[in-house]
Amino acid sequence: MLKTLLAACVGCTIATVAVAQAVQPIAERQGLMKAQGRATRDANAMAKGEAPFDLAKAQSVFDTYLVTTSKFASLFPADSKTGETKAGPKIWEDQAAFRAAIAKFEADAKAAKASTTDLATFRTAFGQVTQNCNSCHETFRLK
Amino acid sequence: MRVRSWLTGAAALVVLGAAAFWALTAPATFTALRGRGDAPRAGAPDLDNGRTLFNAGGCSSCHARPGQDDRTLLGGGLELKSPFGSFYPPNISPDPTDGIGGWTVAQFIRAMREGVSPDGRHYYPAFPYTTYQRLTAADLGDLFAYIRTLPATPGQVRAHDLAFPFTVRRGLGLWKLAFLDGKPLAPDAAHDAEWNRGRYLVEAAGHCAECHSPRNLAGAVDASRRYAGGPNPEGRGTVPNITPDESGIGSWSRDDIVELLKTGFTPEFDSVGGSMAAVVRNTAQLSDGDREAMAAYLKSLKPLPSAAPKAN
Ligand code: HEC
Ligand code: HEC
Ligand code: HEC
Repeated sequence: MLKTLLAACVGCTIATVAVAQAVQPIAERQGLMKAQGRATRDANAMAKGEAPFDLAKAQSVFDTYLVTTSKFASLFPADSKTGETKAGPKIWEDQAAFRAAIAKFEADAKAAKASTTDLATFRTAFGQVTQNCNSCHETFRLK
Repeated sequence: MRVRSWLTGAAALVVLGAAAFWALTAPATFTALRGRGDAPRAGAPDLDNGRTLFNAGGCSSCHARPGQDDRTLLGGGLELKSPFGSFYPPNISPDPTDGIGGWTVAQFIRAMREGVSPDGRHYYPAFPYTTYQRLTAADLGDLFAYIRTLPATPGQVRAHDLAFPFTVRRGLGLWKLAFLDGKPLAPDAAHDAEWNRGRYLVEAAGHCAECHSPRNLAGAVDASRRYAGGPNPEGRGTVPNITPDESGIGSWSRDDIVELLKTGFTPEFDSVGGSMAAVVRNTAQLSDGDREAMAAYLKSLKPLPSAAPKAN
């Protein structure tokens, strides 16, 4: 009797740990994406001329993207497939393609940062790098 | 007679007797009952207008050859999953043997509005002719002419992979009598020209309702909950409510909708994914005026509560 209870309880701690592990990376990856969303909103306002253009601020948008790309791939452990997440099954089914999408986003963000010198170059660079948002969400995110 | 599903259709076959079923489901019956008689533009087609309709109608999303980036290579072959099985949209490039290069404009109009092939077979409504039936013959003539300027792409696609009884195209005749009304969109004088343009783009071309509405048992859009969102027909997840309700996009301004149709960004600067990413690649090609018109129309829809729970 006691043994069964104990066994059950060991089981329940393991389960709690497993759940805790899965929640952490989900929250972290969503936090990175939310930060990108905010940076993209500010950048879009500048690109459209609704906010004054500021070179340092424009380049920092790309830095925000690069923070994501440096951490993103490690935030999808196998136990984070389900729960409060919209991450799509393809991330795990085709990990090479998911990593390639992150690598492309990173390369484009670096190139965008390097080429941004004024409003005109920023507009082009921003337009190009944000293509990655749609294309990755198309394949790797669920609604 | 109200026909609710292809299955009831099969039952009706027994009741009506094979002869009546045969008559009712004949593509010619559909044309006689519902076909309408407007004609394409006389003289040279307007290719720019054809291109606009191609983008508004989203032909590339289904007919572009998968696995490559050129939206104008219409070789087909993408797998479209549905509860009835998998559909593979055919080659509609101007290739004379594998595509529609040998078609006449009249055959094209009939396919788009009546869902009937040149050799007289019914098309499955996975091809959204329930929407395209509202396009004018002038616009369809321009669209056909535009498609014929695109590269001929050889190659045929594999057959649809459907479960019985959906393999029987003839049964679609009953489905069409129940769900395809063949009515054009008459301009609504109570609204301005921009709204009417927006309605035409959304209702006759954009087939937004085909994804953003729940469907009934027969797989047709549930008219009472049009645009209220629903389960994702391709599997897990949902398609959002796009009526101006608080459970839909009631908090979005007109500019927010225009931005989404142009860049794919929502007001939170999330970027729409899934099947909507391809829709945005189409609407991004439209003029600002057309995107404004679509937004004006969407803002005027009747607010409805979400038909599917919003995914977290
Ligand atoms: C390499 C793939 C990838 C790229 C590139 C990408 N995203 Fe994401 N994004 C995701 C995934 C996966 C999720 C879902 C995360 C989850 O729910 O666990 C997501 C979620 C989001 C969310 C919702 C976060 C939340 O939970 O509220 C926002 C906002 C977002 N992305 C914005 C962006 C923007 C803006 C860009 C472009 C600058 C972008 N993303 C580029 C993969 C990507
Ligand atoms: C949602 C996906 C989808 C979209 C969008 C779509 N189609 Fe199709 N289309 C199909 C499917 C599926 C078929 C095959 C139907 C069948 O076999 O019964 C088809 C068939 C056709 C055919 C008949 C071809 C033949 O060889 O018989 C034509 C013509 C056609 N589509 C034109 C168009 C045009 C023009 C557009 C854009 C205005 C368009 N389609 C948009 C899915 C789509
Ligand atoms: C092929 C199916 C499909 C078609 C056709 C389609 N949509 Fe969507 N739409 C979606 C899906 C799926 C989403 C959710 C995407 C996401 O958030 O990643 C979406 C999202 C949206 C959103 C954002 C809603 C929100 O709450 O975030 C709007 C607005 C929208 N669509 C409008 C339209 C309009 C206008 C059309 C017609 C031009 C259209 N859609 C056609 C599938 C479709």
